[in-house]
Amino acid sequence: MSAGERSVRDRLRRLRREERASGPAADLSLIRQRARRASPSVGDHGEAGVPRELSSVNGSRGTSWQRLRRFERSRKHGDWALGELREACPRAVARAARDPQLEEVDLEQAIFLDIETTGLSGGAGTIPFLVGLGRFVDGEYELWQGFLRGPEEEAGLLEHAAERIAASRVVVSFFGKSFDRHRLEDKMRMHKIEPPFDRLPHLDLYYPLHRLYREAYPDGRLQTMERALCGVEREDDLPGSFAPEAWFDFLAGRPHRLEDVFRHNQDDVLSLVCLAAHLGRSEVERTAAGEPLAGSGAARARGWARLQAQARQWDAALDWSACARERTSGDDRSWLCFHADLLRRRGDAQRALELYRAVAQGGRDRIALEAQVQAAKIAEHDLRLWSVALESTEDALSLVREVVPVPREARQGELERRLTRLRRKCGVES
Amino acid sequence: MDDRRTHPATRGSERGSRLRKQGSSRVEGIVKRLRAHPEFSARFAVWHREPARAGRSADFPDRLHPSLVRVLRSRGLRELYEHQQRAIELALDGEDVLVATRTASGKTLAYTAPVLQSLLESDGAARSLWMFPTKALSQDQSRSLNALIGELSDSWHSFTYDGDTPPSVRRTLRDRGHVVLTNPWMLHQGILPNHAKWAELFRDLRYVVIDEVHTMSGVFGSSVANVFRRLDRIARHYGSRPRFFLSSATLHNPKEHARRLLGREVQVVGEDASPSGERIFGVYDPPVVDAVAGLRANALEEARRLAPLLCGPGHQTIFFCNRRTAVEVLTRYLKESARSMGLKPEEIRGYRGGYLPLHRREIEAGLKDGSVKVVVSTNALELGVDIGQLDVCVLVGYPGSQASFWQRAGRVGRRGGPSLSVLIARSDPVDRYLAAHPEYLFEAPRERLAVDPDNLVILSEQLKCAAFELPFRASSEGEEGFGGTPHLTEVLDYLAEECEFLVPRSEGNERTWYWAADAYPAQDVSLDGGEPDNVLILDVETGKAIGEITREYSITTVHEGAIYQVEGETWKVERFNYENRRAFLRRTPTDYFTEAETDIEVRLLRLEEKESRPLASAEGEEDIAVWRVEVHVTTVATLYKKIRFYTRESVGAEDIHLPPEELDSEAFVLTLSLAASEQLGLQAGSRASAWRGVGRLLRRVAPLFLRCQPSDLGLATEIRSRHFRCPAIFLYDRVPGSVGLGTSLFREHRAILQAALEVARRCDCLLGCPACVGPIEEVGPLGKETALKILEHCVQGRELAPTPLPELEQQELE
Ligand SMILES: [Zn+2]
Repeated sequence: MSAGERSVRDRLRRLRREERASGPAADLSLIRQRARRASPSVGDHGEAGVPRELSSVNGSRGTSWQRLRRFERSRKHGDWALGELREACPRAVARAARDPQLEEVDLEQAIFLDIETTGLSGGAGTIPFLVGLGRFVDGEYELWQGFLRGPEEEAGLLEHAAERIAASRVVVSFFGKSFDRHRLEDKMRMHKIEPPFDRLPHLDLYYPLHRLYREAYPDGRLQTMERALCGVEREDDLPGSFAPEAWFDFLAGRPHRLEDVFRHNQDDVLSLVCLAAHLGRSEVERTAAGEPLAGSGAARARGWARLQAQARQWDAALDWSACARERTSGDDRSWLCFHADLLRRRGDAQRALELYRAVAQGGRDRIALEAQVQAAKIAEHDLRLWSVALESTEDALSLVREVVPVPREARQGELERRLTRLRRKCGVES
Repeated sequence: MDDRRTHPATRGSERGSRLRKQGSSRVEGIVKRLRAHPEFSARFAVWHREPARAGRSADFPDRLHPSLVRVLRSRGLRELYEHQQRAIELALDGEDVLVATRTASGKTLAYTAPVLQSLLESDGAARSLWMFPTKALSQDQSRSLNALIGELSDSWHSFTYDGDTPPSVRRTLRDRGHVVLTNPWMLHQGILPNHAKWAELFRDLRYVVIDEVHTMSGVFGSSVANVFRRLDRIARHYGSRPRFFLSSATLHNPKEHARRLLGREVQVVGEDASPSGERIFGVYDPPVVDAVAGLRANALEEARRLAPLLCGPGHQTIFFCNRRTAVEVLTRYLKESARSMGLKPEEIRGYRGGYLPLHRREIEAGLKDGSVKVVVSTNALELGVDIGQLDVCVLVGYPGSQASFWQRAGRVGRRGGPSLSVLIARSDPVDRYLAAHPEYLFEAPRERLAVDPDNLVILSEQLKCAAFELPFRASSEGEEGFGGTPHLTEVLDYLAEECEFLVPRSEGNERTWYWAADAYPAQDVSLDGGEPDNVLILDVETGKAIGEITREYSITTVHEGAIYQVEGETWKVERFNYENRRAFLRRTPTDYFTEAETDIEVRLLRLEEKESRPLASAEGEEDIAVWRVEVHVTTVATLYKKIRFYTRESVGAEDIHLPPEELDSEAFVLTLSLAASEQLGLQAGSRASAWRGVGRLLRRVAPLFLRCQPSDLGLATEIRSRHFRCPAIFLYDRVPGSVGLGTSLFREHRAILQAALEVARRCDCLLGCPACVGPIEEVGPLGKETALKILEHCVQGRELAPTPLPELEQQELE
C-alpha cells in the first residue's frame, strides 16, 4: 500500500500516540478508562450473556426488558417486614422531611426508586441502564427492574419508567433529589418523554435521616443507615462503582457481573421501604409491635429537638431536648445553651437565665462567652435585672479578651456599648 | 454627540467635553513636535494619514418592530450606519451574517437588533446564545443588553453563564434566559454535555451570535469549529435551526473563514460606514546601537524616551506592550517621570490580566471619565471592553497580527478630531519589515487564518464529546454529517473498536454509535490544544507550579540540567519525569543559560501539491520548486550547551537523554535544484548555514501572511534532502495532524520570500544578525551574502506554476 492511501485509522493511531511505548498517550480519559479496566476486581467473575428472568414489553417507543419480582408483605429485609410500612406515620415523615406535602400521602402508594448508571458525572452521555422501581400492589410488594440490553432501548425503558412513576402518589428515594431524578429527567427530556417528577411529592430519605442521625454515624450513606437502623446486612455486595463496568462488559460480550448489579439494586429498593418505615416510627420510637427502635436514641432525640425547634414547636422541642440530655452521659454545654434558648423562647426566661449562667460557670471558653452574652440579654430585656445583666456583661468582656483572637474590636465594641448602657441603668436605679 | 450608535445601551459616557476638544487639538500639536524634534523626527520612518471620514447613515429598516425603534430612539439613536442597516436586513431575511468592520463601528447593535426583534415577534419565545472570547467581554455586554431588554419587557432576561455563575441561579438561567451570554469553553464543557437541562434554550434557539471570530484560528479555531458542529447537532435534535451572526475585525477573506468555522455560507458585511476623525500613524525606528550586529535600541526604553512627547494632562494615551512584565516596567518608569509630563503618578495606570476584576473596573471607569490619562496595557484591553475612545496609542512592538494591530489602534480616535497611533519597531524581522513597508498595515488584511476542523486529533476528541451528547446514526447524520467531515464513520469506528468509548449497534439496517464509558469527555478535551499532555513545571521546594509547557517543547527546555527563566529569574531543572509530565526545578542564580540542540528528521508521507519553474539558463532543468506535503517528523534532543549571558561564550555541553518526539503534520517545502544551487554557489559545508538562515528568516516573517507565531512552525533544513536529492527547507505545522499552516505557507510563498528578501536586504548589519538571517556565529562570514543571493534568485524571475507531482518520488516514500 502506498503511503498516500494510509487509512484514517492508521493516521489516528499515530497522531493520538496510542501505540507508542514511550511517552504518554494523548488521551487522558483513555488512560483513566484503561486503568479502571485493569483493576483486578472486575472481569474475572461472572458469566457472559443476557441476565436471567427478563421479559419483554412493547411500548410506543420500542421494546424494553424487565425483571418482575413479587415479595410477600411479610418478607423480611433486615429486621423489618416490608408490610410494616403501613404503620409509618405520615405526619412524622413530613416533619422529619420538612415537607408538608408528605402529610397527605399514603406511603403504600409510593414508588420506590433507585437507578444504576454508567457514571456519576451526569450529562447526556450517562446512561441509566437499570431502573429499579418498587410499589405495593394487590397486597404484595412488586419490584420492577427495567434493564437496557443496549443503549438503543433507552426511550422504551424510560417510557415505562415514566408511566410507573406517574401512576404513583409519591416518590421515595435515597439521594434521588440530587441524582436519580435528574438522570431520568434529563434523559426523558432528550427523548421527548414528559418527566413525571414535577407534580409528585418526593421523599428523599437521605435528608431526614441525616437530620436525625448525623451525629451518630460517620457518613450518611444508604448502606450505613440500613445497617444501623434496619439491621440489613448485605452479602457479597458489589459496590455501586463497579456497575458501569459490569454493563460495559455485557455490551462487549465479555463475562460480566450484572447479576450482582441486579441484586445490589434490589437490596437498595427494599431498603428504601424499611428506611421509610423506620422514619415513620421515629417519633414514637417504637415499632408497631412495641419493640424499641434501632439506631442511636440520643442522636434521634437531638435531631427531633432541632426539627421541632425549626418548626417553632417549643414544647415538643423542649421535651425532646430534655430527653436528649437524659440519653447523653455528662452534660454537653453547647447543647445546654440550645436547651436554654428553647426555655427562653417558650417564655421561661428565669430558668433560661439560670441555665446560661450555669453553663458560663463550666469553663472559660467561647461557650461560656456565648452563654454570658445570652444571659445578659435575658437579664436586661426579659427580666430587667440590671445588676445581673451588668455582671454577665462584665464577665463576657473579660472572656472576649481571653478567648477571642484579634481582631475582636467588633465583639468588644458591642459589649462595651451594652456595659455603658447597663451602668447608666444601674445608676438610675440606685 | 458620542458614539451612541456603537453602544446603544449605555448613554454616551459623560466624559468632560473639555478633555475631548483638548485631546483633539493636542494630537496635532504632538505630531508637530515629533516632526520638529531634533532627534526623533528622523527616527519616524513614515507618517501615514487616513483622512477623516464622514459616516453614511441609513434609516431603520421598515420591518423593524416599532417598540424596538422607539427604545433605540429614546436612547438618542436617530438612525443607523449603512453597514448596520445592511446587516440587520440580512439577518431579518434569515441569512447567516458576518460583520467584519473595525472596532467601535457599532457591530453590537447590528446583532442586538435582530435578536430583540425575534423576541418581540415571538412574544418572548425566541432564545439566543451569544458567545464572547473573554469573560470580561460577556459581562460588559450583559450589563448593557439587560438595560435594553428591560425597556422592552419586564419578563425577558439575559444572563451571563460562565464559571462564576453560582449553581443556585443556573436553573433559572436555563429555563428563563432569553439571551444567554457565554463563551466557547462553557458551551463546550457545561452547556452542550448537559443539553437536556438547556432544552428550553435549544427548542427555540433563533440566533447564535459569535463575537470576535478573528480570534478563532489555529488549534482554538479548529476546536471551536467542532463545538459549533456539536451545537448545530443539538439544536437540530430539539428541532431548531438557529441563524448565525458573527462579528470580527477586518479579515483576509472573511467568507472563507466563516465557511471553515461554521460550515456555512455567510453574507459578509465589510463596508464600514461609521464616521471617524483623521487617523495619523507613525512608525518609529529606534536608533542602531551596534552597527556590526545590527542591534537597535530596546523598544521599551524608546517608549519611555518618547513618553514626554506623547503623554500629557490634556489628552489620554494608551501604551500596548506584548508582555506582562513589560507593562509593569513601563508603568513604573512612567509614574516616576509623571511630574515631567505634567501628570500625577495616580493618573498613570497599568492594566493586564491577573489584576482583580474590581481593580480593572476602576481603571476602565477612570479611562471613561477621563481621570486616568495614561494606561499601559497588555492585549487585555485589546478586545471590546468599553473604555471609550482615547487620543494617542503607542504600540511597543508589532503585536503579531494585523487584526491585533487594528484592534489596538482602534482604541483611539474621537469624532471630529485626529488621533495618533505610533508603532515602535523592535529588532525583529517582522518589525523590520513593517518599518520599511508600513503600507502593509494600511492595505487590505493579508493574513490567512488557518482553521481545519477535520484535523484528525481535534476531530476525534470532539467526536467523543459529540457522541456523549447524542448517539450518531449513520443515515440521519449522513444528511448533514458532522459539518460534512469526510472521516466521520472511520473515526467513530476507531473510537469504538480501539478505544471502547463507543459501542456500535445495529438498529434495523442502521448503524448507530453510542457513548459507553464512565467518563465526561468534555472535561478532558481542551479547546486550546495540547493541554492534557502538557508538562507541569514545579518548584521542587514548595511543590507549587511555576509554569506549564507543551510536551513537545519540554524535551528542549526542561530536560535535566536546563536553565528555565521566569521573569528574569533562573531556575535549574533537577529532575524531569517525562512519563508523568512533571519537571522539578530549583531557583538557582546562574551566569549562563542553556540551549538545547535537536536532530530533526523529516520523512515524507505523501506529496500533495507542487509548483515549480524551469531554470532560465539550462533547458529542461528545474530551478526552484515549492511543495505541500504530509510529513512525519522525529525530533531528538541531543545535547545542551551552557552559554554565558551577554558574552554568549559557550561554557560546556552535556548530553540529553529523552525519548524522541514524533509528529505527523503538513509541511511547506522549498527546494532548490542541484543545477540552480550550483549556479548560486551553494554547496555543503559553510554554505549550509546560509540555507538554514534562509529557513529561519522565512519562519520569522511568515506571520505577516498567516495568523501564527513563528514558534507554531517547525523548521528543518537539508542541504541534500534524501527525498528531493537537493537542498530543501521544510516548514511544518507543529500541531499534530496540522491545522492548515502548511497550506497557507504554500499559497503565500511568494509574498513570504519577498518579505524575507526585503528584511535581509534592508537590515543594517554587515554579516547577519538576529533581526535577519541570524547572527554571524550561526550563519558564518558568508552567510548573509549567500542567503541574500538565494532569496534574490527565488523572488526574481518567473512565478512558479502548478506542476504534476512526480511519480518517482511518490514511490520513494516507501
Ligand atoms: Zn541583519
